[in-house]
Formats: sequence, C-alpha cells, structure tokens
Amino acid sequence: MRLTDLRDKKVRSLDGETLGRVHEVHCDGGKVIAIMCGAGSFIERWTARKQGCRIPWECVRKVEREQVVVTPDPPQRKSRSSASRTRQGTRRPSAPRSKR
Amino acid sequence: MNPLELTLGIMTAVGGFVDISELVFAAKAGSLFGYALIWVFALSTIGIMVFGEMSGRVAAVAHQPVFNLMRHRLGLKLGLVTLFASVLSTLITTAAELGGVGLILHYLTGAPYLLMAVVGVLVLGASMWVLPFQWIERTYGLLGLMMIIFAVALVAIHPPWREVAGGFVPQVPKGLSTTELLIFGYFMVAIISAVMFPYEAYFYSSGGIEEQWGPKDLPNNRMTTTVGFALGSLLAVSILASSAQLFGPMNVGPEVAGSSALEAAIPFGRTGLLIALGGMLIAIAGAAVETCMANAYSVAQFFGWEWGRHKKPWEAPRFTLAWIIFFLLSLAIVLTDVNVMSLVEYAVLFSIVVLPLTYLPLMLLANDKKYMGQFANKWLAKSLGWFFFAVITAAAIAAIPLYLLTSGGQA
Amino acid sequence: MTPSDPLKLVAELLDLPIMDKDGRYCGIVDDVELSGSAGKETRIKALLVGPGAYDARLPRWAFWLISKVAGRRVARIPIDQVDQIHTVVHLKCRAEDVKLHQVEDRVRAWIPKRGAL
Repeated sequence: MRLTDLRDKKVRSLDGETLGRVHEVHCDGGKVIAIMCGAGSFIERWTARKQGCRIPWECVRKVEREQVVVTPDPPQRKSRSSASRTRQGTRRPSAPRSKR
Repeated sequence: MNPLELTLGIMTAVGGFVDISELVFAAKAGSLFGYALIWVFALSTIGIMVFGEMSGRVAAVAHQPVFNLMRHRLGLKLGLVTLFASVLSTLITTAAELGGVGLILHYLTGAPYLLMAVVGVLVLGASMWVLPFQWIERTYGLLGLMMIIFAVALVAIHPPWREVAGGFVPQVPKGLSTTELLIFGYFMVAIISAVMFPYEAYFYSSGGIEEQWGPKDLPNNRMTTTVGFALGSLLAVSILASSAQLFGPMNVGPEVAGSSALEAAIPFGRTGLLIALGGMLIAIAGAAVETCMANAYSVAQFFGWEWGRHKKPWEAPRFTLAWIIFFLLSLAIVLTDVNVMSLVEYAVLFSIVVLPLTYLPLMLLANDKKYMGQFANKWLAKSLGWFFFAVITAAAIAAIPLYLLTSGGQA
Repeated sequence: MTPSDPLKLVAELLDLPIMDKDGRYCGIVDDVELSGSAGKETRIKALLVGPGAYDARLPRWAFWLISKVAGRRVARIPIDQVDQIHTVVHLKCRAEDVKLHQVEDRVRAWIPKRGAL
C-alpha cells in the first residue's frame, strides 16, 4: 500500500455515508494510527492547519481504488482543532451533514 | 555584521537592481506620463523589499530555498503548474535580457545584433562556468554600478525637483481620456511586474543558501534588501525622471532599448553615452545570468537534484545542464529575430500572472513558527506581506485585459 | 524529528527534499510505501523517489508525458535509513547505497571537468 492509495480518496462509512476525503495520515512509532478526512484540504495544506474528522486506523475496513471504507461508528472519532469542534461538534455519523 | 560584506552586499544589490524591463518601462513611463508613475516604482520597491527579506530569512533559518518549500506546500500537481509557468516566464525574461545584451553590443561595436547575441551568450555562459557564485554576483553587481551615471545625469539636467518629489505621492494624472487611463493602468501593472519579477525571490533565496547564510546573517539580509533595493530603485526612478524631462516635452517615445542611454549623452556627451551603455550592458547581462540561474535553481530544487554554483559544474551535473539548456533556449528565442521590446512586454505579462503563486507559499512559510521559530513573520512583515500579496493579485487579474485593451500600452 | 516520532505523512514528509549523509541532495519524497492492510497494523516501510512514483499523483496524460521525458524509475529508501525529518529528510546512508544519484552520475559523464575556479 502507498500513501497515495489513501490520500484524496473519498471516505465512506459502511452504511454509505460520505465523510469527506483523506487529507492526512497520522503515524506514531512508525505505525499508522489514524487518517484525517474532511473538506478544504487544499488550503489546509498551505496553512499547515488541519481540521476535519480523525478516524483511527482500526476503523478502516477497506482501501479500494476510489474510496476508503470505515466502520460507521468509529470509536474516539473527534475533530482535531477547536475550530472544527465548533463546526462539527461530536455529531453522530447518522445525523445529516452537508456534503463537501 | 561584517561592514565589508555588508557594503559589498548593498552595492551588489544596487548595481544588480535594474534590468531591461525596468529600463524600458521607466523610460516609456517618464515620456508618457511625466513623473506620475514614480510612486508605483516606490511602492513596488517596498514590495520587493518585503518579499526579498522574507525569502532571505527563510533561506537563512530553514536552510531551504523558496522552490523546495513551494513543492512541499503546493504538492506535485499545483507545484508542476507553478514550475512550468515560472520557468516559461523566466525563460522569456532571459531571452529579453539576452536580446538587450545583443542590442547594446551592436550599438557599441556596429556588429550584427544577432551575432552579438550569440557572442553574449558565449561570454555569459563562460562566466557562469568559470566563476563561483559569489564572484558571479559581485562581478555583475559591482560593475553594474556604472548605472549611477543615470542618477548623476538627472542632477545635471536640473529637473524640477518639487515635481519629481511630487511623483512619490500616489496619484492618477487629471484629464486623461479613457484610453490614456487604461494605458496608465497598464504601466502600473507592468512596473509592479518588472520590479517584483518572480526570479528575484528564487535567485535571492538560492543565493542565501549558496553563501550558507544562517540566523547571524539576518541583519545583513535586512540591510541589503532595504538599503540596497532602495538605492537601486532610485536608479530606475532617475531614468524615469530624466525621460520625463528630456523626452516627454518633445513627444519622443523611447521605442528602442538603448534610448535610455541618451539621457546620459545629453548632459555628458560621448563619455556619458559610453558609461551609460556600459552600465546598461552589465546590468542587463547580470540579469540574464540571474534569470537563467533562477530557472536552473527552480527545476533542480523542484526535483531534488544537486544544485548551486558553490559547487563545481561537474559536482551538480543536472543543474549545470539545466542552465546551459535554458541559455540555449533563450538564445533560440532571440534568434527568431523577435523584437526585443516585444519580448520585454511578454516577460512582464507572463511574470505578473505567476507572481501570486510565487509569493503566497513564501508568505505562508515565513509565517510558520514550526519552521521559522522566533524568526517567523512579526506583525509588520505579515501586514505588509498580505498587503502586497493583494496588490500583486489585483495586478495579475488586471494584466491581460489591460494588455489587450491597450495593445501593450501602444493604443 | 525521527520516523518513530508522531508524524503527519502529507504535511511533514511528502514532497520534502532528501539529503544523504554526505549532505548531497538526492531527490524528493514522491510517495511513501506502507506495509500492512486496512485496519490492521500498518507501518511506514520505505520512501519512494523517482518519476515512476508520480503515477498515482498525476492525471494519466501528465504521467505519460513525464515518463517519456524522465522514465519510470523508482528508488526505494527503507525507513530505517532515515535519520531525521525536518525541512529536509536526512539519510543515514549515501545516495549510492539506495540507488539514488544514478542519473546524476550518468549526466556527470557529459560535463567536462575543467575550467571552473
């Protein structure tokens, strides 16, 4: 697997909901621990400020050609920054959300 | 701060500030609009001071030149688009400078212009091969101080100093027709582009790495970009003011690159003419070398090749091949016998469109405390940086419509 | 930071220049190879360098054009050869040990080794 197999891929939950696109992969101790998905990755890379949804790696079910499939209720899923916390809060995945 | 190093740095910046686009647009601006565009030169000079200081600071603290960091920030796709656009605009600029070298050698020797362009490329290429970086920069920069003849010539023709000083106040002349207003706008955009060419940032930051700057060189960097660029800009303003005094009242439009030299010939005769042509030759030749190296820096840094003239040519072989190829491509453009003034127009036009893509990553990087630590932009650099970014973005949007509406300032 | 520190692969590793232990530039991090699979333990295995690594990052026509000019080679730098990561990725080894610098060496054969001060 390569980083580019993950980056910019659509993230969908098992029940088909789109959560955004992968714009970051977090590692610690050389191990992949989480992916970040959400909107606005272009500006975020420029400003090196990350916002969006953090999905622990254990919740990634499948890495397909066009998308990454995650469990619908990943544990510890939370926003990274305070700005995105006010925007997204601790919404449940079944709640309606605006598309990217 | 080593006083000798600082003095040499400032003098190099002065002698190396003016290139063919500033020469051409300063002379034309003066003959068409008198002293009314001086403030645009002043404003653009402050802009290049801000971004020049930032690019030197990033080089000294992050030890990485602008294009390396641009690729990291923009990513591969947008980075390739920026690389292609900046290489193209800088290539046209190199061709314009080489054309200028050929023209001035033609004026001095009477030999055919295209042959002199070839001779120019061979001599410049040889200087880049033989001389290490610091010698290249200092040789062209210090010999370019002959351009001071233009400032002396301005004093000698006793211009109305009050009106010259008034030119530093932002203004739009009253009573212009719509067409004249559009041409005024076009000249504003062209001057901003000519003073703030993207290659300046690439060359200056890469030069900082070549000279192994560190945080201790930051005061030097600040003085060079402020004092050096300010004094260099005064040379361009001298050309504009002399043109306003000498050409404007006679309705003479300086349509050839060498017309500016007459500004020194009128007060000082043949001696003034020769010094002016000599200064112009060195300044334009230095700019040709800078633009060619800037392109080679950009490509080498984008792809992670060995680069720099602090190494011998065979120690950075792909970088060496790159600048040789860029020189040859520029020469090929000149050998199509395209008018040098047209090349200057295209260089300025292409460059202004690329400017926002060049300076935005630099701004963001210089703001980033993770890379810059305590040397990240403070409130003054941030405010000025964003202000000038807005200015160049507005200029980039207006450039092509103004060029088309005014037929490149000719309408 | 080192590869075992907390690291963001896109913002802090991808597209960084690479320098070998002799301080020579030898490429850009064009991609990162990961071992493992979805949801299971996945580790950074190697850095990928070279135009061949652009295939997943560019439109097909752009990759075709670049590969015609620059080829499709990819060099692999095992992650244990990475020393430090900051504004540059510093390697523990020389470029030749990980098959970088091959093109540089080929071009060097064309450059005369004389005349420069």
